[in-house]
Amino acid sequence: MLLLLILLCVLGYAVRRFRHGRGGWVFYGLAFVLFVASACGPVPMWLAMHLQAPYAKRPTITWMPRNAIVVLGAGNTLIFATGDVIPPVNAGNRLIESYALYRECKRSGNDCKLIVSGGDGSHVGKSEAAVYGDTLLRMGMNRDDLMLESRSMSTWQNAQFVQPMLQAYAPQRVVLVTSAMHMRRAQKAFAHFGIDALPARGDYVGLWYSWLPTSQSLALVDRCLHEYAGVLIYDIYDAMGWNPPSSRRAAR
Amino acid sequence: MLLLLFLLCLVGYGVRRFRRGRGGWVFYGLAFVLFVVSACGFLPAWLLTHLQAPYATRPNVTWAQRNAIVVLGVGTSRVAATGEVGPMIFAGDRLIEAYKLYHACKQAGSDCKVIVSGGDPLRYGRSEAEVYGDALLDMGVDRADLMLETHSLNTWQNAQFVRPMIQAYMPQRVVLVTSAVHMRRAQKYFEHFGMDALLVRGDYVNARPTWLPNGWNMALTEMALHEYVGVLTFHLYNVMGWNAPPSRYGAP
Repeated sequence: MLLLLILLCVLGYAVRRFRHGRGGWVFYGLAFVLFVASACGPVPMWLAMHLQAPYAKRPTITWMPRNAIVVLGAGNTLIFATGDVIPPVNAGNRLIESYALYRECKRSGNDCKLIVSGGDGSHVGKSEAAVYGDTLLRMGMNRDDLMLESRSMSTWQNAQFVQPMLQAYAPQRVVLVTSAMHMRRAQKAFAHFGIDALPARGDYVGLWYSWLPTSQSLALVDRCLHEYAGVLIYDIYDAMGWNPPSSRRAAR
Repeated sequence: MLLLLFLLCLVGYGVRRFRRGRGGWVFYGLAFVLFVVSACGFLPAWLLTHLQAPYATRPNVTWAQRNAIVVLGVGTSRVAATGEVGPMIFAGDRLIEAYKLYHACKQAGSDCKVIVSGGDPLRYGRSEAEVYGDALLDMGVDRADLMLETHSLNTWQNAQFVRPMIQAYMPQRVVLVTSAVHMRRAQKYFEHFGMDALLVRGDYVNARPTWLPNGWNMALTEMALHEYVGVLTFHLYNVMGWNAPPSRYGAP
């Protein structure tokens, strides 16, 4: 987003400089309008609403004899001073949601596995699965119920690498936990690999208008665009037949 | 931060326009340099390290007979479609840490209360304490062990309004849970109100050093500056005698 604004300004400057025309103001003006619309809230609100709204409501889940709760990684944070690796600030709500679901499932007396999916996408020497798994164990999860998928570097691979684990465990119910913002893309990838998962969102980004521009809104625009681009690329690849062949889970 | 950059540009424009001098470039240049160092991550990395480093390592807590775990609110987010209010994305790691501590404390066989402190500054109709409290109950905190402080609108009031609750419960051990970035300020205020707490951070955030400017780094810069200004204001008020009188345990 910031980059786009800068490009517009550079274009405006170039046009004014080299064409000696008044066209430069068009670009400056566009940059200004985009900046205000993004940094004061309307653009991110609109973008995020369309991504998140379908997942606003948390589903009521009827637990089956065998259940799998899949939670997707959101990166890792390395503390330089100590070398510790911890879940990043935006993973917290996903972990809370998955742990709450796990607990609810266990209390229903059924068999429940929690699958944490995420490799070392942040290049810190530990996989997201290992780091989040530690946190979940410290929260009181049973070690036998925790399954780690620690190779995936993207949402696509989350689905790809979780699929065989699900096939092996063969649950009747699969619940997919990630941020509301990320759910559409994740669900598409999981559906592609034949996993029919119930979406249960972790965090839901709330939004506000402000008179003064805030950086947080700008950052949110970037994040939304990333999601839209991801979904778009999937659809293009699908239309062109570039996606690896989808597969169906073995019939139960 | 954005506002500061904007102001610098305005001043630059003003100087160029009305003084017809070359001084304007100084302001433009300053704005540009500030923009690059914050958006590419240098400035926020430096600011955050100084705020967070003292709290990087979580202390080992030895549980006493009566323990209070105080967790501070950081905001809520509202789902526009359903009106549901949930914890804001930055709250996740604080809640997880609070729950982990509670779990450990209970396992030690001690008496443990979780005090959630936070009102409804965004006026969504539910206080942070209630909303976070629900999440903690979902994770497995016993309802009888949960205490809510639902009036505070800022960190100062967190300390002010939690104090009588601590005074009533009389724990031998108080643990304060908040984000590493927020800890210094929170600790100062709690100390001011006579609460000597063990400090355990929830999340720890890193800037993302990048060649291209990004909004996340800008947002972190704003967050860090907010903390520095808060601590500075506290000291200034102390010198000027504008703070509410400090208090100690047992004082009226």
